[in-house]
Amino acid sequence: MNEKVLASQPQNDRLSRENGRGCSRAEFLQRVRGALAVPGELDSAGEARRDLSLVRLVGGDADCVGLFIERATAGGLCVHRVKPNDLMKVVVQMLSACGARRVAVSVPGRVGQSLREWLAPRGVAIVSIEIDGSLDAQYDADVGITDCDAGLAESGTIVLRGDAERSRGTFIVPPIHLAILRESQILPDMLDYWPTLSDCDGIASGRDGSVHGVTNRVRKVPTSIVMISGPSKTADIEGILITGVHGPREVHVVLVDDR
Amino acid sequence: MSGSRVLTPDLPFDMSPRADVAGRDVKLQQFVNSATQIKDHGRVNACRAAFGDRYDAVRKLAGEIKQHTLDHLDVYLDRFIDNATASGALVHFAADAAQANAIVLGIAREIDAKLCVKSKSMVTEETGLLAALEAIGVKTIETDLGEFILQLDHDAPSHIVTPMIHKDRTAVARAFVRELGAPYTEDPAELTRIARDHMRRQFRSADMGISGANFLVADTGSLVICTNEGNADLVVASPRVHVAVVGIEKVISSLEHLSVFLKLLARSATAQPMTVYNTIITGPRKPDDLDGPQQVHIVLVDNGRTEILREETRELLRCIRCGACLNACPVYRKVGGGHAYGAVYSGPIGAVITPLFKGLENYPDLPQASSLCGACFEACPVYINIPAQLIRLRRLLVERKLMPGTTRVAYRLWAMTLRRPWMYRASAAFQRIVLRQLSTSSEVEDRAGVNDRVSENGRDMVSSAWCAKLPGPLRAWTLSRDMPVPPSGSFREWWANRDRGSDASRRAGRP
Amino acid sequence: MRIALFITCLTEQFYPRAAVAIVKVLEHLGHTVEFPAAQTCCGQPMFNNGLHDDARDLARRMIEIFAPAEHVVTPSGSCAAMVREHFLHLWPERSGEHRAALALAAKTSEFVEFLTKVERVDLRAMRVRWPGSVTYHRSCHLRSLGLCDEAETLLDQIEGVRRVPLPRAEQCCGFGGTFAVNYPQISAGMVSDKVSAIRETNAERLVCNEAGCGMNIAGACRRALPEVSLITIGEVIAQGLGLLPREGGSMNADRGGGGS
Repeated sequence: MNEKVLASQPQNDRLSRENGRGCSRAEFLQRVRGALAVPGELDSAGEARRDLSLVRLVGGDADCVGLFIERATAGGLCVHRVKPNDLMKVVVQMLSACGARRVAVSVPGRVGQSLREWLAPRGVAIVSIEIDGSLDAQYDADVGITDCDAGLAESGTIVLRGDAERSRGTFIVPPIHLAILRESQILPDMLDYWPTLSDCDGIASGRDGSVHGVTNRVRKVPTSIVMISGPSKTADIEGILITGVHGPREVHVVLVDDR
Repeated sequence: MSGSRVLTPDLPFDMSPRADVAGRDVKLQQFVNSATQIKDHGRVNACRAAFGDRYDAVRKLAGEIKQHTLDHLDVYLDRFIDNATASGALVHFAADAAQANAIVLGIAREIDAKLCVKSKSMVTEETGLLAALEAIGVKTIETDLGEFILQLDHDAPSHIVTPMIHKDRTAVARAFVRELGAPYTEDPAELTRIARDHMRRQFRSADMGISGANFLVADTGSLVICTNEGNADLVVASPRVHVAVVGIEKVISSLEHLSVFLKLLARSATAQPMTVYNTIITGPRKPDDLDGPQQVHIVLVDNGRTEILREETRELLRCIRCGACLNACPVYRKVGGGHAYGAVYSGPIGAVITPLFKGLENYPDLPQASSLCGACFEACPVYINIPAQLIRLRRLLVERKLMPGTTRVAYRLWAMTLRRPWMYRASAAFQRIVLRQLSTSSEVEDRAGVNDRVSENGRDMVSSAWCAKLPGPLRAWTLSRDMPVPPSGSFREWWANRDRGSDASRRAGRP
Repeated sequence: MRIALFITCLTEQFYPRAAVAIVKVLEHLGHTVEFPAAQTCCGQPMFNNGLHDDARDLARRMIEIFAPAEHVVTPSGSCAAMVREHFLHLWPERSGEHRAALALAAKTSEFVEFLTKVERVDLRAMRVRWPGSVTYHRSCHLRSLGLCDEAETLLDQIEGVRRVPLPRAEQCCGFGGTFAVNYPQISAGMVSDKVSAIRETNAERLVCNEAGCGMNIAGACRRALPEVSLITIGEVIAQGLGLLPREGGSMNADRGGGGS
């Protein structure tokens, strides 16, 4: 793999125009404006307030944990309910049951620390994922262990993030994924997930390309958010369902009863 | 026929030869019919289960949200570009296919890329990116299993979402033996394992990952990619450089609005509540991040979209590429899937946007090969009125004189008779006489007395006569069905001759 | 009320008795039926094929002819859709013609729509009796009128009707007007699927209210499934009320006469 890395971030317009590859931002936006003829007034705030309750599938009063388990299972996730004190024991048992020798661990904080303490003496090698931002080492792992950002009852989905403490490869490279989710993290509906992200100032551009003084409040997002609703699947060959195409063939959710 | 030739045929494109061949291919008919019907019924079940009788209202809502974004696409694109750039991504602007390819090739050259891995992007099929990369010595592997197999077998996708519905396992087995040196197996699980192992080697050594995006979120500058296989998550995070090639119509305003589309997309496409992986990417690896690509390039592509953005056709850009219209369309089924359309975009949406992208004169068949049944409109999660757009293209065919002169004249004569009641009645009578002359059925038509209360003047208003062979342009009708012969009694005569007195006495009071 | 019958060109030419049946049923319900003799065609073939100037002329003509009517009923879903939907796109909004088109659209119903949404009939209470095994073909344009299973509901109210649901009912029969003649292979494939579905029901009669679909499917049945014949719902109801004789033989049979 080529190690060459560009020293600086090039200016898009200069690059495009100099090499004659693309066009400038201004030209490009002008093409768009031309088609809009007389653009109407944009009520940006109004659009942001548009009522989306029509698509809400699960309300706050539902049995979210029960629904989550039912729908996650229907989607092919294996859900294991544990009490907090039994978490480590159960994880170790599961690793031993699938004969895992090498695992990738992308769990921050005390839980991650505990995992390392429990796995090391049991002959399970922890693959190092902190080297130069590459996912390469994780290709040799038998199991990837992650925590979760949230669970969504509406679709039996776990939500993961990729950031300073969480890898973007652990849930996808190893053939088995073990996700640790707390019951208190389960939300009714995807509509409830976005408010859990803190907000910040977004950039609101004006019609003529200028940046407004007025900004809008938007969600502050980590580099990566992944919503996972099952093991990796395809039905491309004659409509026959196969799991474990690229991503893991098994996804286990260890659901910790912390309520 | 090689893959690229299938979707870039000689122009103007005549769909009949491919449609006829497909019509006679029993196995292909079986595959395509069952695959599409299962998905279509699945969509209805999944959406009703989720939304109940709100389903149509939800589709309208999604359509309105998209329409709003398109109505103000300049502002939302501006916003996206600013926020994407603020997140560390590099945004490029491609007015057309040549520029799009040039931008990606330029990036590949700069990083001295030799091997790329790619997840699904229909825009790159429009621009022919892979061939362009190949020409400068950059090998690109399609990683979506269906696309991978098609690439190996020098074939082309036949469906927007499930690209391989026209292919069976034996074709896959043979391709793997030939191209990968794998042992022959027809077991789909084994075949998938062979593909997976092969592709994992590519992921580990690829210099660049190329993807599309299902949505672009303006508020945060994010790309959203939805897959079932998870190949996109490897494509965007394994190599050092990620290039996303995306049509401008994919912009939506916020993460909240994204919810509406994520709840509709998989249900409409494959009857699942969600695709297995929905990934929201905002910029490259930050200084603090554990891993991720060092560079994220976003190539925004026009390539004819700003033409379609004009008001009369703007709703077409709402399309979220779910394939629901393909699965609902009886014409798509009968012509054996996407190859019969001779273009990247097939099915009902393809029948409208292909002539718009490539010129109506080049694809005159596509808007005409439709019974206007409206199944596509009923299936569309963003409420695009495809039948109305098909009729609009037919109007343009007439205005641009792309309809054969004789046909136009025939329609105009027909319209002329319809304007004058005496001509209308005369031509109807003439038709009746001609069809009775051509009648090939054996029984007597006028069964006076059988329905004498219906036909006071003794002439029958029910015909049991048929014609098995019509002449001239109507011959096509009798290729597969008989033509009914009109009865000799006419409604107008009956109406004129009614015994109004006795009818009045028979009238019952309102219940 | 006074109802003007919009007979439609195909029904007038090929299935006039279907129109007779509708007249008799409407009169039975206490309405006065009128037949504006100047009517010809709503212009749908021209409209669908892009000849919008001709379509506009024919639409204008039709709006004038039916302007005095209190209500308009038609046996054809596609013609009703033409009036209710497409006429409105022929002129700019706020023009006089558009307003006239809106007025006509507001008072035009397809026959089943009229019975179920305006009249709200209960055929059970009306003691309609019609023994026979049927399956019903739902024509595509009913979608745009907002109709789904109203006709099936009516049939189920009739004593003696044994209705078998048609499999894959949502798939178009392949008529599509000139489509059947311009793309005969594709159309043939679609009608063949429809005949197969009918065969699966083992029904004796196909109930279909759209003349175009009826010609198409009945014509194909004649070759592949000759024991099945076509009847419209208007005729079923009229026969079931004793307003029309129960016909002797099937429309497809090679000999007339026989019991019902």
